Amino acid sequence: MRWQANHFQALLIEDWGEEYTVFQPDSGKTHFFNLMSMQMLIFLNQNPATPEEISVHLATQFHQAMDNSFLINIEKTLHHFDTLGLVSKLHQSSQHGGQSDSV
Amino acid sequence: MVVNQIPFREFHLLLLNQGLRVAIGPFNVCIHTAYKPLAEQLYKLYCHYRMAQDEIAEFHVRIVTERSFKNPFKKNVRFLLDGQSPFGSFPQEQALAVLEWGINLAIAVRVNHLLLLHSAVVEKNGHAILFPAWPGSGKTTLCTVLSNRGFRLFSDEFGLMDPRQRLFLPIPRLMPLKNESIAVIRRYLPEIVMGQSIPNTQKGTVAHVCPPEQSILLSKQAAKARWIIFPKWIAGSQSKIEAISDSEAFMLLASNAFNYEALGATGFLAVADLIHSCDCYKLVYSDFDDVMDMLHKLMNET
Amino acid sequence: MKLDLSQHSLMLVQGLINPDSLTHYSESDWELLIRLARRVKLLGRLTLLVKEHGLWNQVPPRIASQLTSGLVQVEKLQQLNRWELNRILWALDEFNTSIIALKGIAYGLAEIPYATGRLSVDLDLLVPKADLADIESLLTVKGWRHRTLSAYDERYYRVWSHEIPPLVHVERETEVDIHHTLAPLTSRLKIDTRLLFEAAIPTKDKTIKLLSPVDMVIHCAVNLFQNNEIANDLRDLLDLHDLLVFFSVQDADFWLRLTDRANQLRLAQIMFYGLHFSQLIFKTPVPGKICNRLRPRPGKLKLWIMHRLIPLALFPQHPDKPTLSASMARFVLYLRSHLIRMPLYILLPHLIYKTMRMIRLKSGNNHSHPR
Repeated sequence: MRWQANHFQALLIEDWGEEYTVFQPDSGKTHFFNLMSMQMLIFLNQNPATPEEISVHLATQFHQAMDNSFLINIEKTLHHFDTLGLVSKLHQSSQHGGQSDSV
Repeated sequence: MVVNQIPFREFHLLLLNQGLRVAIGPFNVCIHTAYKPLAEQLYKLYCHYRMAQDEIAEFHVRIVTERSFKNPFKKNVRFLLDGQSPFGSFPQEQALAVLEWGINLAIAVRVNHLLLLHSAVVEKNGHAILFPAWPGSGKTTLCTVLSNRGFRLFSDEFGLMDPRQRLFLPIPRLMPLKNESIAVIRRYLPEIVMGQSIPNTQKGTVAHVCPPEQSILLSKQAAKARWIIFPKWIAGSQSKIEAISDSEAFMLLASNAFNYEALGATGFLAVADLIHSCDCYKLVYSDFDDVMDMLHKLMNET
Repeated sequence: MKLDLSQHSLMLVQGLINPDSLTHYSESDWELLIRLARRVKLLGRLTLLVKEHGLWNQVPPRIASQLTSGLVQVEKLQQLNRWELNRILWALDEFNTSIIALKGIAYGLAEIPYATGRLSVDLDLLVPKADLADIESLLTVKGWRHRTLSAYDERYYRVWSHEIPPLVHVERETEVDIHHTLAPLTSRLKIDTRLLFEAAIPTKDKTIKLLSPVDMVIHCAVNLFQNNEIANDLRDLLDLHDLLVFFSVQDADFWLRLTDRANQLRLAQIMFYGLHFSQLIFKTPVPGKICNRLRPRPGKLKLWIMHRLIPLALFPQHPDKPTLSASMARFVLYLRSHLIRMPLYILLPHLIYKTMRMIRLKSGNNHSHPR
């Protein structure tokens, strides 16, 4: 399953030094993110990615062990972003290069 | 023309007939009532307000009396905004409190050309200081003290901000002291004008304080904010002030505003700019003298 | 037939149909106009008109602030409605159904002129009755809840109404009204919803559809003259006017299609009232003989009565000087709206229940919480 950021360009982002306030015009909501959540959104804006790919990317960036609990946290954040409408699943038909859902 | 320049009889007739129009900060309010005890209280507490009989009024409010449903021998009062009743009826003794709540409600639900933060605001040396509301902040009490000790009152309730010019606008209204703070203020500021205590309201006993004449007189002079201080009153505590992070201040301010969400991106950009241009603190206090020392120290540092 | 309007109503309708006349309004006219427009949910519309006609600089500053405030509110509610629809489509992503947007959100999607100034509080959707239970449970799983209702209200919705009890997502405030037909099940009107779905038109976003132009117009009239109590519903009549003007310019055969469809759906009488009052109040250019194609039409007496009542109720009362005749008109129309929605054996207990509840609310005065 690949995920992508929704309307990332439309977001208004204030950087308070590793903490962010983000205004999402579509929902009219203001969100508060830490650095890792923000990096995840930026990554998903550059390329649609699977939770595993996101984990690898963020684990390298933050010098963390890419274990199962890290992956679970990534999936939780993805789910949260999904309900907020910040990210969405890429549908099969619109996937680049026709990758399969499993990695 | 100021209210205390006309005799009570004329004041009462205005309330009865065409409506009394008074300027409260950037707004004019047109008030009607045939309930004489309210007219008497208003004459005393609104004495410094400018009259605006020939100007457009944004809010048209009315206090009407009616028989109590439960007890036909008792009278109730009801607040009307443009003829509509936004909340139920109350015992007649509470007329003033109901009118003041009603006007606050009208401002809170209708005004969207300005950002409405839920915050007390005072000014000194051209800088506004925000005291945002949160439970137990004691902002009204604090405001009453500060505005009678050299600070200019903007509001004890509304942080009214022009989102384009980033200016705060004064809207000095009566300050409703609640419960124990009534006695506290009577002790600390024996000289101030206070309305009668109104017991058994939804917020307990309430007594209204008239803003200082100077604050009302200068209510067209706006100011930029320089400090945001989240106050908390804790009995017997050692007063303490400490800096908080910008993102936390943003969250606290935005999540407790009247129309932050309604303004969308405009509200977001205005609050972000406000936080950037202010120093943000948390304050715990129990003693007003301590608070004033701290504020003066803050102001001298810059 | 002539229209007999009070001074303040004339002033409101003049401002709406001929905005250039606003340049002659005095400060006190403006003050009253704002209060009236707000009462009938037309403050946002008035703001658009003032801007479109280049009058913004002639408006007194205190009025301009109120107009701005009104439009900000309208835009916020529209944004919330669009987002709620977005989230509904997200929640129903894997469920194959047909959803038709109704009322405000639909006017926006159809790009009807002035739709951007319309105050729309709730999100209204029409879904096939067969899918209703699935949709309701899918939404419940994703966080939508029914507002707490009394057992009576719950039963009223489930058994007699044309919609299910309103849904609200736990993290948001927008109320979603999901309809499965356009008129209450108890009413004498039996609308064949299948015909509406067959004629529905897809939008750019393929998952959501709109009623066909004629059906959209007919639904607007049904909603005004059948589902509502008409009091202060001037906005809804203006919706009808906007739709008629917009669609009749786009399609030369629009009027014929509209009247044929109203006859086919057996909604001719309601459409007649719609055309009649839109033309009477907003000067809608309805072609001369077109109403004669509607069958059946209201009789002379009925029309005479409606003619006396409708304008009195549609227009707002003067906020400082309410009149008894307008209050009476509202009351009669209130009864009428219930009468055509329900047969007497349902109606009488229903009105008794509502009256009792109102009395209880009025006497239980200390439960509200002003800030």
